[in-house]
Amino acid sequence: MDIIISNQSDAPIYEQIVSQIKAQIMSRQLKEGDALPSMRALAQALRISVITTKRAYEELEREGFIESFTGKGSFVRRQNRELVREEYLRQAEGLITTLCEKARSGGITLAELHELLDMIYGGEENDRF
Amino acid sequence: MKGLILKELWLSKKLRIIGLLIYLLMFIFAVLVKLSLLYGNLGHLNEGAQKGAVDFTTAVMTFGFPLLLYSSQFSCQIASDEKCRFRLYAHTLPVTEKQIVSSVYILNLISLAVMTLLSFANYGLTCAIFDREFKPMYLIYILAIGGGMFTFTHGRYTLFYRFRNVKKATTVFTVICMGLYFGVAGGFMLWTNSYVEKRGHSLGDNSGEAVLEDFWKEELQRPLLWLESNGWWVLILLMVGLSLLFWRLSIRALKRRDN
Amino acid sequence: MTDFENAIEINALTKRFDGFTLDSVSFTVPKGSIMGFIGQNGAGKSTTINSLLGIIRPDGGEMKVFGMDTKQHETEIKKNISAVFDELPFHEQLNAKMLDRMMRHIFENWSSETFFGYLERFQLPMKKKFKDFSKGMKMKLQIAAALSHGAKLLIMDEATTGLDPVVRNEILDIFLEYLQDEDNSILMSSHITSDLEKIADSVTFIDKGKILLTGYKDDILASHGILKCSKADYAEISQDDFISARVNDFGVELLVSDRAACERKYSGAVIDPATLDDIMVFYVNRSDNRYKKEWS
Repeated sequence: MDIIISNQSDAPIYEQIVSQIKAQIMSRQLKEGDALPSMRALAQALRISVITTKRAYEELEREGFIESFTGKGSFVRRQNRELVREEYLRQAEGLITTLCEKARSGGITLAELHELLDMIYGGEENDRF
Repeated sequence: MKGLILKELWLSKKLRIIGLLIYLLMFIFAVLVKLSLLYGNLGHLNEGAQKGAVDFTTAVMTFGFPLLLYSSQFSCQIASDEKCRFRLYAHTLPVTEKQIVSSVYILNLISLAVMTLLSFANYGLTCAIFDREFKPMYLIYILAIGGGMFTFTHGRYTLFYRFRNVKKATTVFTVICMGLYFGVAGGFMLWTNSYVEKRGHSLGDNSGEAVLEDFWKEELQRPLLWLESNGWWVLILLMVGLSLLFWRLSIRALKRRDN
Repeated sequence: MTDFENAIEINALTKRFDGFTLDSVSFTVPKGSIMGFIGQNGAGKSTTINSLLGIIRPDGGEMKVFGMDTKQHETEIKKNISAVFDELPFHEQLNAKMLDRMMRHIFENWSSETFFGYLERFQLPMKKKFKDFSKGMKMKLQIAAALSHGAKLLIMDEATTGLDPVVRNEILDIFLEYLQDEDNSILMSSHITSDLEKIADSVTFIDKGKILLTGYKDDILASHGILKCSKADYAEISQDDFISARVNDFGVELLVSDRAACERKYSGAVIDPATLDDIMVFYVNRSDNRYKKEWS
């Protein structure tokens, strides 16, 4: 399992961990029942505070991606992928609503929005290597 | 505590080696004097001077050795402890103040015993070399000197634990010693003076001398005689008592922790 | 040792000296975590640590280690803690082998095997006298000794100061390893914040004998920020919103303690993340100027 942390990124470190593990679960790099490294081992390896990794794992557990058992560790949970995808869709919808409101008040056309969307969405895929 | 004693032991290694060297040197000194008496220059002197030389050698061999060593040993201990701040560190270890102080005392007691025996052996050797009468009482004399130095130095230790500063402790100690000295000497002089003046004289005149003799006979003879026969025991008791007192005071001073 | 929640609990610790007072210092180190104790030279870090270790008797307050009061259970506590100082507290004429023998009789749980293991790992010679050790070696020796008797708490007073980055890194790795056991905790005082920036779980800032700030490092770093703006804009910012401001010829930098709120309130302003150094500097300079929260 690879986790890459950027100290320069705007996103707090625990969020980076959460999103990277989520992505690996979604892309089936991490399969159901796989064991995650212990919070302490991860903290040691990444040279960060154990509080950070704890927070990341707690969030992942809250969102239903993993489950933790005291004494045994944390494991990838069986994903009801449809439900998760729906949740994300819902979140995206909310964000698009806000986006459209801003665009309208700023006088930005739909065409410009499409362009922006292509650039950013498409761009991110190219950036991730 | 065993750990602390070991530490003290290792640190005094240098001093122990020096001690043995001095012992050896003194032994060689005595042998040389003897040889000189028999075959060399000293043999040419008259009997009185020869006896003087022998007496001197005996005195040096018996008492010089411990005095030399005691005077240097203890200050080294304190200085090295302070330099590395071990004493402060010792407060973070699971050892009590009692153990810290006792380890020092135990080590010094051991070296007292060893040095007494060595000096006594030294004395015995001198007697053998010079064909003198071997008086076992010397063991007590040597022990008394050693014990005296022991108590003396531990008084300094106590002051050091109290003041946490070598200079301050030494100053206070010197002041106390001088105070005691002048106090006793001064008090004694006042006493003599008052005795003399009561008789209507002053110490300056010649008649005063005679009065002094009376003074010795009347006031001091009985206590002096008593001291002569019992003096050594009194001294030893005094030293033991003072050492114990210093031991308790050192522990109490360490407990105060005012750093 | 019964179960406990906090490795260290300090409550209203007070100590008065000539010219310096440790004033009602309080903070907690949870079990299994590492706390960075940050402050300038002379701020009171050593005084606090020395009081905790029993080298100094405090004038007031109470302290608990492993849930036990330090005054009542002194010896019991000391069996399970290790202190590491910036200077080697052992005599120079000793060597590692002697130290091992000595410690064997002092600590019940001393393990010579562990000690020698660390010596080998750090490549420290067994028979060489300490006076021939370099500074880095002396520190590694202290740490080797500290980790060889099953201590549950390491207390370090400026242990990494004066070491080169390579050695510091090695030592930090050792600490991280030590923390893998959940029962172990570390209290580390330093003014080298870069070390703590990475691995500390919580931090406590102290200045002139008073605690400025204490809490989880992540939270503190996330909630603080450096707001940069022009002098004109600076006049618009309310005094309650920032800790202190550094004014220079070309603009103003302010430390804010509620970054999210400031981002909303002063939208468009540049707010950079603050480092632990920044936080210390801005807080210290605030307390230095009592009338205006400004400095340059």
